[in-house]
Order: sequence, then C-alpha cells, then structure tokens
Amino acid sequence: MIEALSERFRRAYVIVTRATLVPVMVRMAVFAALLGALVVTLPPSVIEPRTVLPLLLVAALPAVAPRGPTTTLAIVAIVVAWVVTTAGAGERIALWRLLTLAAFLYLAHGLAALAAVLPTDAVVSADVLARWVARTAAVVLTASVLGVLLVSVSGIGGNDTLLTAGVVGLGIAVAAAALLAWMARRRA
Amino acid sequence: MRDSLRSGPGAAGPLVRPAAPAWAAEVADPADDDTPRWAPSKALGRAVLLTGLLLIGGVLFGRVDLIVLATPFAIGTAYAFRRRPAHSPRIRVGTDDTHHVEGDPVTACIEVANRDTIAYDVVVVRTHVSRWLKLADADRPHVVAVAPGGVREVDLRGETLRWGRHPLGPASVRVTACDGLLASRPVVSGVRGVRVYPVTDVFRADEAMPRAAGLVGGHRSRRPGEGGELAGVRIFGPGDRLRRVDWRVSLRTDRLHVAATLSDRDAEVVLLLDLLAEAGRSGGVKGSASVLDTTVRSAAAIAEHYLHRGDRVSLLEYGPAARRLRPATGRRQYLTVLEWLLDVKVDQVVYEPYENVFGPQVLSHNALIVVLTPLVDPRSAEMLARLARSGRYVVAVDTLPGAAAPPRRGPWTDVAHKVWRLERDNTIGQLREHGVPVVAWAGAGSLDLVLRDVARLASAPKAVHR
Repeated sequence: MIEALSERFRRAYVIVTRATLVPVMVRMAVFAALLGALVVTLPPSVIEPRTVLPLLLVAALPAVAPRGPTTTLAIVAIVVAWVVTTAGAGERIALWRLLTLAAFLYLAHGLAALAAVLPTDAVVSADVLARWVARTAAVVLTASVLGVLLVSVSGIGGNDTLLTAGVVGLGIAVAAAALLAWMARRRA
Repeated sequence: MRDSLRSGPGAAGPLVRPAAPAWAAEVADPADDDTPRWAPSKALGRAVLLTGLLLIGGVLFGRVDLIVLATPFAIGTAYAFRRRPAHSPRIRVGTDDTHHVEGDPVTACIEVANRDTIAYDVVVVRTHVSRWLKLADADRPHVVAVAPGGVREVDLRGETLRWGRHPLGPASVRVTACDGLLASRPVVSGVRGVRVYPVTDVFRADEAMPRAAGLVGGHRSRRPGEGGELAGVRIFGPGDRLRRVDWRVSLRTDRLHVAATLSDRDAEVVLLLDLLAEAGRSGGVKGSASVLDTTVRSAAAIAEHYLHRGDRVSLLEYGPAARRLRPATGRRQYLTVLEWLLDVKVDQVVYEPYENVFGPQVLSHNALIVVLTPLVDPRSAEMLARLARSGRYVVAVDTLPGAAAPPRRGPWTDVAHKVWRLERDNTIGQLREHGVPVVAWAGAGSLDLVLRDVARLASAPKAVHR
C-alpha cells in the first residue's frame, strides 16, 4: 500500500518536473475556459467562499485529467446549471452571456481534446498550437454569428420560441445524423 | 539530410567492404499497407454526445439557448469531418551522415510523411536512442503538425559518445487529425544503426620490425639487398651496380669498393584482441575507458600506423567468435579494420578457444603479433606463453585501466583486489621472463622500447621448444 502510494507520488513528481510550457499552458487554458463558463453560468449570489472550492474543482479536474470523462461531465454539469439558473428567465437571458457560455464550452472541449493528445513533457512546435487555436476561434466565431441569427429569429421568451426551437433543433439533428451516416459510408 | 534518408543503409552502402554482417538494418515499414488505422477519439464521442443532448434538450424544453449552445459543437464536428484521412502516416529515421567518429556532432532525423489530403493536426513522435548518442531532447516526445501531402522532419542534434553500432529507433508516431476527433494507431519505424568509429590515439613506432617478410616495403630488414640503410662497405663483385661504388674508399685502397645496403621490406602485423573479459567503466570518448575501449582504440591506432607505412595488418579475436580479418595493406584495409572493430564485443566462454584461433594457417611465422589483453583471464596469459614458445614475435599491450576495480561486496573486497593485482603482476613478470614484453598502452611510442627488444631477439639464434 505504502509502496504503491510512494510510487504514485514519485511518478507525479517526475511528471511535474519534466513538464514543458505549452502542454501546461493548454491545460491552464482548459481550466480558464471552464472557470469562465462557470462564472458566466452561475449568478453572482451563488459564487461565495463556501462554493469557490467545488467550482474550482469542477474546472480543474478536466485540466488535470483531460483524457478521462471529466471534461464531458464538467460541460454537462455547467449546462445543467445553466438550465436551472435560467429556468423561467425567458427574455431576461442576456445574449452576451449565452454566446460567451457557448464560446467557453466549445473552447474547453477543443482545448481538452488538444490537451488529451499532448504529452506533458512534449517539445511542441509553435505552429501546432497556433493552428489549433485559429481553427477553434473560427468555429466559435461562426457559431456566434449563427447563434445571433437564431436568437434574433426566435426572440428568446417570445410565443414562437417553442416552435422555432423544435424546427431548428430537428433540422440540426437531421443534418447531424445525415453527416454521421455519410461519414460511416464513405471510405475517404 | 533527405538524401541520406532516402538512400537507407542498404542502398547507400558503406564505402568499404563490410567485414562484418550488416547490423539491424531498417526493417520493413509496417505502414506500407493502406489498412485504415484511424479510430475515433474521446473528443468525437464528447462532441456527438453534447450535440445530441443539447439538441434533444432544446427540442423537449423548447429552449433556443440550448440549441445555440449546441451550434459550435455541431459546426466544429461537421467542419472537422469535411474530409477524412485514408492513409497511415509514414515514419523513417536517419542521420545526417553515415560515418561518424567518437565525439563528432551528429544529427538524427525522424521524418514523418503525410500522404493524405488533410493536414495532421498533432503528430506525436517518440524514439529510442542509444545511450551512446547524446541527442538533445531525445527522451521527450516531439509534437509537430504536417501539411497535406507534406513531410516534416524532427531533428535531434547532439554528439556521439562512444564507438560502435548504436541503434537509433525504433521511432513511433501517433497522429491526430480532424481537429482531434480522429487518432491514428501508433506507427513504428525500423531501427537504424549509427556507425561510430573509434577515435585513434596518435601512435608512432620508430623501431624496426623483428622480421620483414615481403620483398619490398618500408622497413629495413636484416638481409642485404637494395635499400636505403647502409650495412657496410665491401669489395666490388660481379653484379654490383656502378652507382653503388664508394669512390672515396676505392681511391684510398686502390680496389673497387661498393656500399652494401640492407633491403627494405614490408612486414605483417597481427593485432590480436583478447575478448575474454571486460573491466572498467566506459564513460565515452570524454570519460574513462574500459578494457574494450582501450582495446579498440589502440588497435585502430596501431593499424593506422602500420598501414600508413605500407605493412600488412590483420586482426584476430581471441574469444568464442574468433573473427579474423585477413592481412592486407593500404587505406582500404584501414577502413575495413575500422568497420571490423565496430563489432568487437566480449563473450565469456568456459572452453579454451586457443586451438580454434591459432591454427598454423592463420598466423604467419614472421608476423609481429601485438596482443591487446587485460590479462584478467588466466587463459590470456597461457595463450601469450604458448605463442612465445612457438617462436613467434609477441608483444602484449596491457589494456586494463588502472582504476578498474570490482564492486565492493564486503570488507574483504579491497584486500582481495590487491592480492589479485599482485598475482597479476607476478604473471606479467613471468611472461617477461618467457620473452613476452608487456607494456601498458600509452599512445605514441608505446611499443618502441619493446619492439627494440623483440627485434634484438629476432636477430639472435634461438631454439624453439617443441
């Protein structure tokens, strides 16, 4: 038992001492993105000294272990918190909050995917990070534009919200299913 | 750099005839087949799951904000999958040069080729490197990106630390494409042997060879003939050349005299490498030298010296492998010697390898035999004594490092080691009494003193024990 623990500590020490800058930066960016998503999601009244530690833990776990399911669970938890905190808010949902949350969640997802494949002691070429961030930024930007269009079409909290959400959601679901089916069929 | 990679060990071929079997050439690239080797990553599963959950939630609860949250995941996944990789990545390892000497700078190169029409976003390259190749950051994975249809090289710069054939590789590569949604299975390259030749100490021996064997060469022999070394002045006889006439003596004596010279002949040098035991710790070219290091470096130096003078040099292993390099002369033989020395290794055996190694057809009777031995194994001393008794000209070079000592296993280790050293000194003394000079390797002029003694012995009449 003690030997196993000491071995684990020794491995952790080796990982920490051999870590290089870029992988650590990517993991810190995952942490920052999830922390930002939490701050945007939760109302200020919830963020108090008693809840800071659990919130930091939720943001830190995916950064520490990006290869596990923690990233998925953290994003799902934030979305659930968003649904709960905005339930009944209707038109009071600020557009900037929604778009910022979407951007933070996708950033956390994309950077966690990068952190999962980057060994902590790797020597990383500069263009790897630059290309990855550029692609993620392009997706976030495009999604933000589409999000603004969606919100303006539906008008959050209006009478047509249910219908718009249903139609757009079904449309995207059908498109996603078709995309996945096409991907599965083709070879290249 | 690219040329050396393309040529490969088989195609480039060494400049010299390989004296030893080629070592671990690059194995067949396992990534040659086009079998799909791509698997979805956890990020793909997360993206699909979140998109589905958010869309279903948006539809069920009638909330557009959830659909807005799902939008980047859906767009990102769709954009990433607009094209999919079809081929496996290719990886190959190589070096900047095929010939290195100990202490030389060396650049190892790992080449990753992308045969697809989409970029490789993250390419993680790892490689194994021999500890005798000191390459910067070789123990860390390297991460690069490769453009579609492009080739990316990861250069590892450093220096060679020790002679030998050192493995470079296998290197492995794991590629992530489609924004991290697809990952390739690891592709492993073959191993490339980096040849590092021993650095040779400056060696010089001015003394005569004990017995020159050929008809021409650079050594003055002890037989009269056409040469440059004056043997004396004698009365002119039939067949003497006029340019040999010594006019000063002829005028003084009123009889025609000629200058007699000794003939210049070449000699055969046999370098006998005792490979029964290894001792000492090898620290590379800048560190301490083990028995094997001293043996190889001094053999290279002695061979270089005598080959440069036009003598024939052959090499022989005293060990279970009993490899032999036939006598030859010239620069080509020197390169062959260096190549041959790369495969020198110690194999400990229990049987007596003498009979297999020293058949009469192997060792010329006139050859000077330089035995490089640590005199650790009793069989080495016996072998030297038997060579001397058979009437051969033997010089032993002591290759045991002064600091070599066994690992300390108890309070009596030091005492036992001192006793063993005394016994070894006794053995060396006995060998000297039997006419086998033993000298420690000291580079230039190491053998001058003993070669003089051996040459003197060779000129004297002797009785051979049978």
